[in-house]
Amino acid sequence: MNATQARSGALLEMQAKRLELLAARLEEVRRRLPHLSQLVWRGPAAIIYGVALEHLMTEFARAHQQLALAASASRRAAALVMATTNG
Amino acid sequence: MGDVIVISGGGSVEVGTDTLFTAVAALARAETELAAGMGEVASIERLVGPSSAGFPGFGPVMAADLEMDAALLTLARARASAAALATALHGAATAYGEAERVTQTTAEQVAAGIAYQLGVQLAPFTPLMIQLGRRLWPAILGSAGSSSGSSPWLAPIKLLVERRDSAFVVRLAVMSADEFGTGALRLPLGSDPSHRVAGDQGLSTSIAAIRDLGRTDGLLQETPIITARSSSDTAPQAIPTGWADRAGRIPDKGTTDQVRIDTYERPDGSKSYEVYIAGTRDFGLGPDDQPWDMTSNLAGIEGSEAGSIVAVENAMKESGITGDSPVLITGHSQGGLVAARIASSGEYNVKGLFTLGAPAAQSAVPAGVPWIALEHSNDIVPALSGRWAHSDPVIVTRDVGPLELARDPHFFAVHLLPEYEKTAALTDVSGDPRVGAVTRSFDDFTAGATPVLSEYYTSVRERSVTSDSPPAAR
Repeated sequence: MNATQARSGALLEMQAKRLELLAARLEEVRRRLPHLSQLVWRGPAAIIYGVALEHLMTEFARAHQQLALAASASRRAAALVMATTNG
Repeated sequence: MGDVIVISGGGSVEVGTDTLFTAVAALARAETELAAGMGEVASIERLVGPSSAGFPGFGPVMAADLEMDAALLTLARARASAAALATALHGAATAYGEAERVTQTTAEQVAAGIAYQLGVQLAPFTPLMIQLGRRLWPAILGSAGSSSGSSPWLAPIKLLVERRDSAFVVRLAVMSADEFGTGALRLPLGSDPSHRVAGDQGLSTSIAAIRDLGRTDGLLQETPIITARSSSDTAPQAIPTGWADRAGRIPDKGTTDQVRIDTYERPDGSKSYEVYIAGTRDFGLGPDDQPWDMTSNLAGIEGSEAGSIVAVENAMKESGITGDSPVLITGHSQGGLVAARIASSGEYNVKGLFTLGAPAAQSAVPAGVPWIALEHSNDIVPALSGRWAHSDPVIVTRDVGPLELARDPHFFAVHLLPEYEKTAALTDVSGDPRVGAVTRSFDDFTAGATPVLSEYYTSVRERSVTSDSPPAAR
């Protein structure tokens, strides 16, 4: 049981690390998205484009937050498993 | 407006600002990254399976799973949004390019009709117009680069010739020159509309007629060319870092040199070359001793042997460039036309072209030659060669703003090298994939090469040769 638990703990640690790395990579992609101040169009089209771009930014932020929460939960789970295994 | 570049050509019908194409590229990258992210989340979810049920950390494991499922949905939505935005931008660029093409074609057809009527009405005044043109042409274009304050009439003409509309009208006028001639001769206007749409057939005919007319007056006559190496440098500059760096290496008006040739040694010991060709030095109609003159300009656009082309070929031969030597060519104005004509001759192994304000639209450069052509939308010189007909370079256009030009006291500053150097600098930071592809070709050409020699060449027309003239290079 202890060996299986230890393995699960290690896997959860790895899961947390990979989730954090992915969140960081997505943040990097979000930073390289076109900036709202760089006007591609003028007039009403610029407003529609701006809204669509802002929506995309929001989706990125949401995904980042969800990945961070998943990573944090994975770390908590890993800590609990390890504590039980060692105890 | 002055810092905005518009990209077109390069095998695509899309036309748009650099900002637009940079945004499209960024969104396409984001879509790819989001797809990869979805794959990564799915892979992470498989790490810890349901076997952990009953473990002390089961609760948080479930919480992590739920968040990952939610993240998967969010990433999928974001991916769809990025794809939709990129498609919308692509669509806008395509629609803009199509609208521009239709506008241009319509304008050419209207201009052809007007030119024909003008030809009919103005035929009796043709000799007078030729005389007027002979006097005005050198007076106006011959002042290029001089201060507009040097003559009271230069300032208003500067405002006129540096207008965007002027370049547009010049391009239309050039394309309609044959219809004007048809009208002047009272011949029926061709009923084949494809002739008018293509337009370029008439261009070489019109230029041939102008040259014939000039020759009867002793003007616009081609001559033998004598080329000599004026100096060389065995400790040359480093490999060029980009478009602005290349533009800065073109021999300018402060020197008599018209051609610079840099020799590189490649890692395998073979040699490659970069040739830099100056722009028009004499806007007069001749006779003169300068091969970079209007005689060469017209001969070059017409497609016949121009003095400046012979001069560059002389210099290339003198530098050791053969038909197999890999070579990149950069040229401003007439230098760009010469570069395009050399590339289209098929006699040289041209690996890339970079032209600035060149009247090269009638050159037939093979599609496989990477080519960036910088044009200012208010520069009449590129417009002199009409519409791009036989080649498809990546065209980078900039509208040099009136305020920017007002600050520059030089007459015809919009065509001069310093303004084109600014456009080249903007091209250096462009995120457009078409520009990026040509940039990579140039970078690959110079990768690992070591500059070993820089040579400068000066050529003269043979009619002015005296006992003190430089020796013949061939």
